[in-house]
Amino acid sequence: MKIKFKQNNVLTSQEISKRFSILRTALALLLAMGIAILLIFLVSNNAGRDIRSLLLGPLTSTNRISQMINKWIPLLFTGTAVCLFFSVGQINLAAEGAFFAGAFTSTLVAIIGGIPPGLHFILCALAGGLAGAIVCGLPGIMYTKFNVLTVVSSLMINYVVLYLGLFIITNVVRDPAAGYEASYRFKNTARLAELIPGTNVHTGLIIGVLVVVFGYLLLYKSTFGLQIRTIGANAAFARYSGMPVAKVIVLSQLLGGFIAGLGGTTEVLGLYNRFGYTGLTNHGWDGIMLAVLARNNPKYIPLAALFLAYLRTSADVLNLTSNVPSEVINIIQAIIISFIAAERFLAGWEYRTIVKNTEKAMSLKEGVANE
Amino acid sequence: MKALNHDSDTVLEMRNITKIYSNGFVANNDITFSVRRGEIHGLMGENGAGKTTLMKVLFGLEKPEKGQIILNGQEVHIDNPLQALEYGIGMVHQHFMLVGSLTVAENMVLGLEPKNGLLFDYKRAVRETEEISRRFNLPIDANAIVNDISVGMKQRLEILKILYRGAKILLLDEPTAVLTPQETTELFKQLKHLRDQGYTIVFISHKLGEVKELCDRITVLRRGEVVGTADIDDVTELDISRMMVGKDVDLNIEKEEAKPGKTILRVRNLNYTNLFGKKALNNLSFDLRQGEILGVAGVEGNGQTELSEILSGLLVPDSGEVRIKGEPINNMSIRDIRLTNTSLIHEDRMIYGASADQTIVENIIADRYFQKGYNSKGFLNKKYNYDNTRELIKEYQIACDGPEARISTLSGGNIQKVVAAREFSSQPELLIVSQPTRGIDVGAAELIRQKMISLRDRHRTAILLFSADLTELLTMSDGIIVLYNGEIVAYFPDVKRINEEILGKYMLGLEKQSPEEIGGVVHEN
Repeated sequence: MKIKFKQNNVLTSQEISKRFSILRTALALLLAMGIAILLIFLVSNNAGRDIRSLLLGPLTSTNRISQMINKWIPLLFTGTAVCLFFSVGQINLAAEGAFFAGAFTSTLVAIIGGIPPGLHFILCALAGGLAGAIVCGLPGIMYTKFNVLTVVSSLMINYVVLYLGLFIITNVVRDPAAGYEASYRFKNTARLAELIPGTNVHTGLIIGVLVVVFGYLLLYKSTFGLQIRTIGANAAFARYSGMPVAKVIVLSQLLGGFIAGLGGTTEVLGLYNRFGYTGLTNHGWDGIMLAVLARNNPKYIPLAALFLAYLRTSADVLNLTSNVPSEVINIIQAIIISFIAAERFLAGWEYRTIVKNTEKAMSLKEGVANE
Repeated sequence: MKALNHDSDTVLEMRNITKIYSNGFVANNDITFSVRRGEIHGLMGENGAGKTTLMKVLFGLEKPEKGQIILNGQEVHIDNPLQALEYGIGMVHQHFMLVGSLTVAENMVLGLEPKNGLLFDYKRAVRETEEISRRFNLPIDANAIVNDISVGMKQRLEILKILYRGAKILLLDEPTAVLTPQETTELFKQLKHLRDQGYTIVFISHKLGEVKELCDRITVLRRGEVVGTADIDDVTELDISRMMVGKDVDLNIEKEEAKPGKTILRVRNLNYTNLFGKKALNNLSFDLRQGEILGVAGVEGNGQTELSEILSGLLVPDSGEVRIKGEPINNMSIRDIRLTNTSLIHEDRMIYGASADQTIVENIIADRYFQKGYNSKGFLNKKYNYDNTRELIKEYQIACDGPEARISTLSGGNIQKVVAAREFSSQPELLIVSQPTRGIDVGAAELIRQKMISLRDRHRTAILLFSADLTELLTMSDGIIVLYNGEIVAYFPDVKRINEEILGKYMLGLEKQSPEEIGGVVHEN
């Protein structure tokens, strides 16, 4: 009977749902692009050129491509981290703070001289990762021990981290010779090497890809991931089945925090020679958006992150080459993400298709039965 | 009743109703169903047969893909419950739709509050409640807080509520599921009284005995289609059950005499006070032995939930001792309790029993993924787990697309089969099980019951069975304890000597055994 259905091109309801989620994303992109082009027509003095920049700008030079890749790398870390948080059902917003903490904590190690290369970066990464783990782990611990809402505590902890970090940088390791508010120079032994000579794409790319792979295997192939996803889907069921719910929640927050912290480390040691941030970097917030787009599966983070990096690079190109204000780019981003995140978008059509398909399957079944 | 057997008496007709849910599940497939004025019409079928969906279509809660509704010879369109009420159709849901903190009168007028100027006229609400309760001869205390009244009273309030709103056709969705035998008898008296006054009642149920007693005609659904309609006098219970499941179902469970062995579960002087300061368990002591099924009877809310949750490690008692195979469980986590080779089935299937958004495999391995075979070095053994699950799907006859089907795509009976497959397949020495067959179809219930008997006989499993279904308790159990107000008020070592009536008296607190008789359930000192 199954084969008969396949021959007659009748799909299962699950297959239809899957197709619709692809269609939903594609249509959201198209619609958003349409609105974007309309906006550009309204504000631009050279619409043709600017639309080209929006669509193809990031691909027009190696410099821009490497710029896009460098925007992509940190998103791999924060996106994967937030997938871990959300999969276990914790709305932990501290990836932002963890990224920042990872950046300034590894700075403290990176300015120490006399450590051999390789080992030096590993020490920096450990310091940055642990700092991130603490930042994201605290809300998790507060939730499991005292039932503090994670969304509130994690949001607040970002600002604790920001001002603590700025305090340390400006009061402990500020380099008066830098000419602006920044730390002492990183030792060369700590910095990440260039991956592709002549561009500033750094080896953090490899670490980022490894982190995504690790996140995917952990969440979808390991017993720990099964625990995480079960707790996220139904914590009472997980507990009743004998899963150590509190332990898994805390561990997953620590682990996600470590990944976000490692992202911060990779970013500063790959791109800069001093710590120069004066505020939060938005990578953590982007991670939240990416996790939503990827439906909490790290497998889709690279694609979602590439899309975001592409869009951001387009924005930079437009900013440099046209009179289109960068606000317009922000509007376009917001529209695209809202469309994709809208689960009920096209729901009516999907429902009707499933109904029709089921009716078709039923009539076929009767036909088979009558034969 | 014969006088009513003319088609001109048809008050309501549903023609060719087809309803397909968004997951592709065909709940109703071309159903035609008619009800005569002034009859009690039993709508029967296994769970997932489409009874509730059909009534929801009629009450405007679900929109059908196809079909017509004809009321008093006129086609009507019912888009929401308010319209349904305007047409005189009212529904009492399986789960009560009452505000517990308000009084009976306030619930009665909710949405139609009598006003005194701009203010709510509570006195008039009470007066109207008393009036309608008198008119239908359904006495109720208008000033009582709903949380304080019994389940039977709540049901009465629900029925009064729709009568107050002018319903002439009453749709009752499994109204007896939560009632004691005495309350059920009372409800039937009331319903027959309403019928005699000209009201039409559609009674959804899958309890054969009740339908046989109460209804004038029945319509049986199976897998979303009508199997047939019949006058109740023309069919036997066996006929109905055959129509429902499509095959002969053995209504009697065959089981041998229990041969109890040594004590597995030992409970002494257990006390528990709930969040509201009510003493939910009062000095409970009992033993459960190998190869024995001990039933726990009681009206809902007399300590059964608390007892089962303490035994499974969800709640911590105030005082007292629980030992499994001699080990005290005070400091054990749920995992530790399960590792004593204990299996647990909670009464709340969709909260504790299964994870709706996950697959069957993930649900099956949720209690054993950490054990040898199910994983190697922390990574799940996909093939092993899928093969195991496939075998269980076959053994437990779970109707599904395969191991990767999501739980939310299954019917209630099949979900419970997944739960049972997980909990029974570990061949437990101790099984704490609550409401194993509540709200599921006859076929699934029979399979689960057979499996429990075979656990008892083949693996000498000690089973503590909590059930609101007295027939189930009486057929499955070897001995029964009755809980009333958190106390054991009776122990029957041999269920063959008792029946529903006797149990009912103890469950309602009308009678209580002597301490010596109750002490009989403590087998070792």
